[in-house]
Amino acid sequence: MAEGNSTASWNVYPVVTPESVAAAGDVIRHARSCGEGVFPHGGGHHRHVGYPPAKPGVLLSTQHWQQVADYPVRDMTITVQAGLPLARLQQILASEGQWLPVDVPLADQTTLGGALAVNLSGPRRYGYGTLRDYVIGIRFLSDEGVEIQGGGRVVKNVAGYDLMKLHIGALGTLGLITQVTLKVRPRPEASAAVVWGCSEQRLSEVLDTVHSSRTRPVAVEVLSRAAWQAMELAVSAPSAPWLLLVGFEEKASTVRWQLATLRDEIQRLHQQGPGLTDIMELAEPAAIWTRLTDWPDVSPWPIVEKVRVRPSQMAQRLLQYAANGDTDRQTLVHAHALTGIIWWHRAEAGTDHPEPDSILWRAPAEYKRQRPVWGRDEATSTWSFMQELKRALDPHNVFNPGRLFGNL
Amino acid sequence: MITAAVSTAAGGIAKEPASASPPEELVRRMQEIVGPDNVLTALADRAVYECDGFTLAKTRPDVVVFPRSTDQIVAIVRACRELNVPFLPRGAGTSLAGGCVPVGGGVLIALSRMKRILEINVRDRYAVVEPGVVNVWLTNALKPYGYHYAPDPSSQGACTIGGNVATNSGGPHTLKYGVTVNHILGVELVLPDGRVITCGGPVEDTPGYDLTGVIVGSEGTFGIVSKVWVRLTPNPQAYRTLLGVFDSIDDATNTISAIIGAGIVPAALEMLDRTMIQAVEAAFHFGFPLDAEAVVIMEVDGLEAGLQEEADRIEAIARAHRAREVRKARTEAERALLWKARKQAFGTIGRLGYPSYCTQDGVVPRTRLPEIMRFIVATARKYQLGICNVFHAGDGNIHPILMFDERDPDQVRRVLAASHEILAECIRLGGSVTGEHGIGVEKLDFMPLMFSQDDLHYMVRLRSAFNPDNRCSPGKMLPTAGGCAEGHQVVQTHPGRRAAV
Ligand SMILES: Cc1cc2nc3c(=O)[nH]c(=O)nc-3n(C[C@H](O)[C@H](O)[C@H](O)COP(=O)(O)OP(=O)(O)OC[C@H]3O[C@@H](n4cnc5c(N)ncnc54)[C@H](O)[C@@H]3O)c2cc1C
Repeated sequence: MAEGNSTASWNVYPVVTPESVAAAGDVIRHARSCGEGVFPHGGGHHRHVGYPPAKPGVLLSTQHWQQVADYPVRDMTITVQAGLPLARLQQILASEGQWLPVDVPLADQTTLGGALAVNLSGPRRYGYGTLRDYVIGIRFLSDEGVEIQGGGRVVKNVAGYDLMKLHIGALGTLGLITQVTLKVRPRPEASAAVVWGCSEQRLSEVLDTVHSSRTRPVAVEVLSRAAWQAMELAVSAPSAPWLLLVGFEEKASTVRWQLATLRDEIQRLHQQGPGLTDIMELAEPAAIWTRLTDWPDVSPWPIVEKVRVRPSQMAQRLLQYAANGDTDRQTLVHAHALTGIIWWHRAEAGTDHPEPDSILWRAPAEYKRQRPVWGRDEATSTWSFMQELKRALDPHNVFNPGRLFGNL
Repeated sequence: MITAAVSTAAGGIAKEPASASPPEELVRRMQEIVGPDNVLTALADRAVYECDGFTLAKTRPDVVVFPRSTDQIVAIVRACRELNVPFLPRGAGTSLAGGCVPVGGGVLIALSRMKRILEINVRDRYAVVEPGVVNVWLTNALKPYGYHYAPDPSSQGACTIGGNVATNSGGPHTLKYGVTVNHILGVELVLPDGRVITCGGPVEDTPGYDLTGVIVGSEGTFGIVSKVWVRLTPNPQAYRTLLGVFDSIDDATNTISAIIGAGIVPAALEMLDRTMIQAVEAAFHFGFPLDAEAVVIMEVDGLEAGLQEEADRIEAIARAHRAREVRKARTEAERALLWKARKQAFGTIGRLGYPSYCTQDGVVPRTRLPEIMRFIVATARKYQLGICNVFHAGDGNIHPILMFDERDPDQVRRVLAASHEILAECIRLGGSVTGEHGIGVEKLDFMPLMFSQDDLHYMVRLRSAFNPDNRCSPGKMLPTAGGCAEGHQVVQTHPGRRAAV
C-alpha cells in the first residue's frame, strides 16, 4: 500500500523492538558509536514521506510502548506512550465522551509518535487546527540516548522551550518520541455534512461564499468528480465537475441552524445563475472524513503531491490541475479548500512542470531523485538554518539520516 | 556570567552601579545606524529601561536603540557582535518576569517604533505586523472586517505583538481560542549573528521544522522577532456573559471544573476573590457584591443558535454549586464594563492601601484549583501578607497577588518565601510555575525543579543553535552560564535572583 514506493530500500534494515525506553537509549548510543542511523518505526505507513534513508542502521519499533500513563478525565488531558495507535487512543477517549479532534490517516496503525513526526492531519483541521495545537508535553530520547522532557501536563505552561513543536513535522530527525501529553476535547454533540456540485466557472465564487458564510464549518473540502468516484464513497456524486463538501460539528441545535443557513446561502448563488446542483445532506460524515484523510496514503496513483497555496488561490490552482487530464482519470485532485492544501494524484510524472510550492508526498524513487521533495523551501536560508539546527541537536546524524534533508 | 542585579538587603531592590556614560564607540555606532534621535544615552533616559513590570530586579542598559526596520536591527546586532556587547529586545516592557532586564548591560533594542500593521488579508485570514504593534491596535484595525486577533492578555492595551510572541501570552479568552502560539503563522527572526530567517508564513504546513512554534515563547533568547504573521479569527456572532456570585471559593472553583467536565467549552472563566472585588468595585462601580467570597465571569460565545441553552446549562451548574446569584450582562455595554473591570483589575490594587504588590503566575490541573486556592489562603495567613486573586480559572492559571511594603526587608523576605511555597505547591499538584508570564530572570531558580539537568542541558543546546555566544538576552530563561552547551553542569544563579514575585 502506501509505503510501496520505496519499500525495497527499507527491507534491508533490521527491526529492533525494545521493551523499555532505557533499552532504546542503548540502541541509540550504540548506533551513534558505530556511525549508523536509527529509524523510528511506528505504523510504518508514512515511510514514503521525505527522502529515502541515507545510512545503514536499524528500524526502531515503538510497538511495545502503548501504555496510558495518566488520564485525568476531568482535566481533559491524557499522557500516553508514543507507540499507541491513534484509533486506540480515540477509543480510550471516546469511553469518556472525549476525543482528539485531529484526522490522522490509517488511524488503526498510525502511532501517535509517527503522526507527530509527519504532522498528519485531515479535513477537519480547518475547524480544529492540527496536532501542534494539542500537544502540551513530550518525552523523547535524544542523540545521547537520554530521555528528555519538555512541556508538562497542564493546558497552559510556558516554562522552558517548546520542545513539542521541535518534533512536530520533524520527521523523526531530532529524536525518538517516547511519550506525549495531549489536551483533548469533549466530543461534539452532533455532526453533519453536505455536498453539492459546482461548475468550473463558479468554483471561485462558491469558495468565496463559503469563506464569508455566517456558518462555522469544521471542514470545507473540494473534490474533482474523478476524485469522488475513485474514492468510492457510498453517496452518488451530483453531476458536476466539482464537488463541495462542508462539515459541521457542534451542539445539535447549532448544527441544524448551520445546515439551514448554508443551504440558504448556496441557494442564493443557485438563483443567480447556472452551474450549481442542490445541496444534499450526507448520512455518515465520519466515514467520509476518514476516507478523505486516508486517501493521499492509499490511492492507487503512484505520484501524490501536497500543494500549499493561499486559500484565495485555491479555485484557480484546482482548475489548473484538473485541466491536465482529470476526465480521463490520469490525475485527480481534492483539497482542504479553506486551509490551502491541495492533494494532487497522478498516474505518471508526465511533462507537467510541478509548482514550486508542492511537496512530493509519495512518488517512485526515480522521480524523487529528479526534484526537491519539499519544493522551493529547500532553497531558502531558513532551510539551511534547519540543517544547522539538526547538526546542533544530532551532530552524529543518528535519527532518520537523510529523510528530511536528503543525502548531503 | 550572571553578575547583574543583586538583591540588596534594603528592600530587595537591585541596582548595579551603572556606568555614568556609555562607551563612546558603542553610541557612535548606534547613532550611525538609526540616527541620533533613535538612541538614548542620558542616564535618566536609560533609567526608564532598567526594569519592566517586575520591579525587583534592575539593571541599566548602556544604551537604548529604537530601530525602524529589519535592516537596522541587523546592523545593530552585527555592531554588538563586533564590539562584543550583549543586547536584549524589548517591546512595551509589561513583562512580569523581568524578561526586559538587561542582565550585564549592553544594548537594549526597543521595538516600539516598529509599529506598522503591514497587511491585513481577510480572505486568507492573516495579518502581517511589525513587532512593536500593540496588541489591541490590531484588534481595533480588524473591527471593520468582523475579525479579531484572538489572544487577549489583560495588558493588551500596552503590550506588543513581539512581546506576546516572545512570551507566548495568554489571556481570558485563550481558554477556548488557544494561546499566542496557536495564532502565529510565521515570524521573521534576526539571528544574533545578523542573519535573517523567515519561518512559516501565510501558507500552512511549511516543510521541515516548526521554527515558528519553537521561537514563540523563547523569551527573546533566540534572536529579535522583526515581523509576525498572525492568524485572524472571525468575531463570534453572539455572547452570553454571566457573573456567578459565591459564598465560598471552593464552590466557585468546583463550578469551574464542573462546567468543563460537562463538555462545555466556554470562551472564558475568570475568577476574582473577595479582596479583589473590593478594589475593582471601588474603581469601576460595577455593582459587584462586596460580601461575596468569589465571583466568576462565565462567558460562552459562538453562533446564536443554541447559545442560550449553553448559558442556561452553565447557570444551572453554578446554582447546583450553591451560587448565591447568577447575574447576566444584558447589553453589550454591560458586557464591556465587566471585561474592563476584569482586565484593569491589576490597576485597582493600589486602592487596597499597600505600597507594593507582586503578581504571581502558576498553573495547576483545573480540578486541583480548590486545593491550590486553600493553600494560597493558608500561605498568606502564615506569612501575614495581604493577598488577592484575579485569574484565568478555566485554564487552572492562578495569579495570586501578594501585597506588601517594599521598604520593609522582612516583608520582602516573607513575600519571596510565600511565592516560593505557592509555586512549589503548583509543581507538586502536577502543574507549572508559569502559565503565561514566562521564566525571565524571576523564575530561573525554579527551572531545576521542573526539569532535570538533562532537560536543561538539552535546552541550552537548542538555544545555542540560535544564539551560540549567548549574546542575545543573556541570563534569562535558563539557569546556566552561557556557552557551555556541551557541558553537563548547570550553574545555579545567584540566590539573590530568587526574586520570585
Ligand atoms: C497589568 C498586566 C496584565 C497582564 N496580563 C497578562 C495576561 O493576561 N496574559 C499574559 O500572558 N501576560 C500578561 N501580562 C504580562 C505581559 O503583558 C506579557 O508578557 C506581554 O506579552 C509582554 O509584552 P511586552 O510588549 O510588554 O513585552 P516586554 O515586556 O517588552 O518583553 C517581554 C519579553 O519579550 C522579549 N521581547 C519583546 N519583544 C521582542 C521581539 N520583538 N523579539 C524577541 N523578543 C522580544 C523581551 O526580551 C522580554 O523577554 C500582564 C502584564 C501586566 C503589567
